[in-house]
Amino acid sequence: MLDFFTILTKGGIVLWSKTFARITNSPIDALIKEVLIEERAGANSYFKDSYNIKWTFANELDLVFVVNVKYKTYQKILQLAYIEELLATIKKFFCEKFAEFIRDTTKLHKYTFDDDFDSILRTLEEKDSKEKNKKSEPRKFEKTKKYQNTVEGNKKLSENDILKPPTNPTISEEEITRNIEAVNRSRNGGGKSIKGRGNRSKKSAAPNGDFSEDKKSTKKVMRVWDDKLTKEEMNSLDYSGQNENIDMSSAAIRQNLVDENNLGHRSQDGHYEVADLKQDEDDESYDDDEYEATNENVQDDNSTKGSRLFSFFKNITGQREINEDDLTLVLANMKEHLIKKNVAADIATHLCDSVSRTLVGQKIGNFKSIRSIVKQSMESALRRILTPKTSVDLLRDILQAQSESRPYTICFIGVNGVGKSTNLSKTCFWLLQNGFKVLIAGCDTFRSGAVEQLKVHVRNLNALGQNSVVELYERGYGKDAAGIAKDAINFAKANGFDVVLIDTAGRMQDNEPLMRALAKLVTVNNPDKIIFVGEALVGNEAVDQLTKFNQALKDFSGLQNPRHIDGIILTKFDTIDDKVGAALSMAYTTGQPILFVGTGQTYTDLKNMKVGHIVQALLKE
Amino acid sequence: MDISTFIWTIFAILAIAIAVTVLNFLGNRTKKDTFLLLGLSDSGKTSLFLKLRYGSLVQTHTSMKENEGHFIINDNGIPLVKNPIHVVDVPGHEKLRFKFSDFIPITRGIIFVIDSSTCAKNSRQIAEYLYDIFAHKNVKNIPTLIACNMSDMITALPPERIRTILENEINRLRITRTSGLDHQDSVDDVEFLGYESEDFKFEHLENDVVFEKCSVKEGEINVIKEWIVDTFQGIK
Repeated sequence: MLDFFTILTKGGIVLWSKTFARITNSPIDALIKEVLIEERAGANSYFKDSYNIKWTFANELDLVFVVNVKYKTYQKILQLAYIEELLATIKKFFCEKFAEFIRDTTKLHKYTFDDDFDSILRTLEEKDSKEKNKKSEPRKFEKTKKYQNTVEGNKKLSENDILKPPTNPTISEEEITRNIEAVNRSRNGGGKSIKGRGNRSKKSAAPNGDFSEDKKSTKKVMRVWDDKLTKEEMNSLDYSGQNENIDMSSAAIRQNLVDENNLGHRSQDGHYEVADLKQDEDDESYDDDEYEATNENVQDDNSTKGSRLFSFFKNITGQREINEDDLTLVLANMKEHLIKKNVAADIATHLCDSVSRTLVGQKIGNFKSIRSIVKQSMESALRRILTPKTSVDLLRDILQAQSESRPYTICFIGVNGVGKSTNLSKTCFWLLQNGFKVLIAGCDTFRSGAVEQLKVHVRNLNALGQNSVVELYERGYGKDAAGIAKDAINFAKANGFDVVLIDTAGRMQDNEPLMRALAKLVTVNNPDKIIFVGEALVGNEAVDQLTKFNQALKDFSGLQNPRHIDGIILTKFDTIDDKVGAALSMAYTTGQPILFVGTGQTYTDLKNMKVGHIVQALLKE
Repeated sequence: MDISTFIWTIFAILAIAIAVTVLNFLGNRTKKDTFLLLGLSDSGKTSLFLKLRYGSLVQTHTSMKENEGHFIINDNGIPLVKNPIHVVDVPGHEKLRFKFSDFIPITRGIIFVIDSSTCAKNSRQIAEYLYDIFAHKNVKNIPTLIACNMSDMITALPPERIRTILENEINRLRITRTSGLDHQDSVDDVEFLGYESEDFKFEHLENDVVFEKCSVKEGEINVIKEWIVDTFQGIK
């Protein structure tokens, strides 16, 4: 059932809301904090406690519409099929009715919307239940699969398919307007009759819904044997009769595939010389022109010259609203650009979807191109993702632990060869500089030489500082890592160490026994910080590594509130120039901050990441 | 004849050019009439904004975007100043805070809102945000009001107590922040707060910092209005 429907501004002011049941834990705040601000709005719905929340933006008025449906924990499928439609209908209706109110900010307006909302909801419920009733009627023979197999049916069906326009799964504009009209009509026709109908439909809707949905999901798809072709397919594969089309389009193909301007030229002796690569100094303006040109081509199809002039003026005076078609091309370019910067492909897609959602409907400002607007919006999105949401002040945490007279434990995890031990010793150097007593626990009991490597580091670190105290706690190879870490922490507690750095063996994220061992180490010792060490060179793999490490910590811990990765160290950062995408991928996947970046071979080459720097590098052409 | 027309044309062009530059200069001159509402999430910034602007309250949620408006501060309809002032409510979510620095060049005063009932628990987050604000290179000399909101709650702490809690916390932060690692391109635009050899006190700052208790819910925000009016007229 519907629990609440809220309309609020992006500033957080509730314009109108209606609750149907008592709300606990304010799921809207959680939605805003965990999804909308973190640029995860590319997703469709959000589950929190026992709420399933759906939302939509009205960017032209800076509004957010949030609706929430209660669901049972064992079935996360949305029971009410008309929710999307309800959101869209309410959005359109509300925006039309109150546009002036919302724009006028001189006083707080009262939004009397209850009646309209009720009638919209009722109309949709009615429509929904009607459709469900229709579905539950017995099928006619003409509609069955068997009929399609007969020759007669086959012929008829293929004709139908051609005539019928493809059905659009998303809700069309027309449907929404039709809904609104229906609401208006019903409202004029007196309230009493509607009420009666509404109640009835509500009762009938629920039980019917489940049945029809079940039926739909169990429908089988008929098997098609490979060597048999239906008549339809034969026809579609038969290209013999379409010669005239090909002749006509060869000129077009030439035009499309070969850019005359960039064509190389044939020299006197018949060699073909490829054109030189031009230095694109005015890269941006060039792209803009290209974009404008394609945009005009699109418009050419269904508009006259006059309206084009009009749209040009609209463009200048800033009256045009951004629609999805405008964004598709620009965002596709942006996505490609991000991928070139080594951002994982999935994340680039999500991000572009999310940006598109926040832009559709916005007015284009004076003399601004869509490209620059997208870039601006992307910049702030990137900034938001990379800005840490929790404190990254490790020293403050350590001071806290010191005041509780216990050692602060940091566990370094990651795949093989990313630089866990190296960056552990860099961190150690920094902590020693700040006067802490550090104990390194050598829990890599697998790779030969791992303990010796740490020994060398400890020797160096002791030699570097005048009165720095750092020791290595090791028990050789082949022992249980979790036990060694436990002993090390106890040793540190007894001997007054401030910090314990736990070095673990590198492991591939797919190696289940090793991942179980890691989860055990974390569960047994419960370190204060679990730091994932990842190299900046990875691309798509970054997402996989982080999700699997996180998942393993969750699945194999056997705890109610399992731990997760608390922070990331990005290593080999000096090797990647401006392809800094891994930073974005990792921050986005975990939602955790990048604590440090490793930028070289010496102990001092550990730096704080600067968000502005990364954002700039990502957007640089 | 020809020459005089020519001279006149040049004159006219020059006059226009000068007029344009002067107008541009006037237009670009930064008018410092902005008051920023800062603070953690759920401390009551948006509510305070609504109360200042409309005198009434509605339900609010976490802000995703700043609320801003030009309006005349009034007390039950009686205007306290003649000119409208610009008030900006900056979201308190950690990922959106950085926006406050965009407004700093035009800021006349900062109102930092604290939930005094949860202050002890959140002292570290509050102090970190305050530290970021005061350590910002352009925030020097901007007067700051620390509004201890929700004073109507039983668990609310008095402003004096909040002051000492925050001073202790900032003192600790000052040590850890200054000994943190360098940033990538080592251009530090952060100021050291207070005096090097002494414990941190708000008096040590160049900013004028005032603590006041208030309650947006109960409508006890007159101290805030008076402070805004005083600051607005004081420097003018």
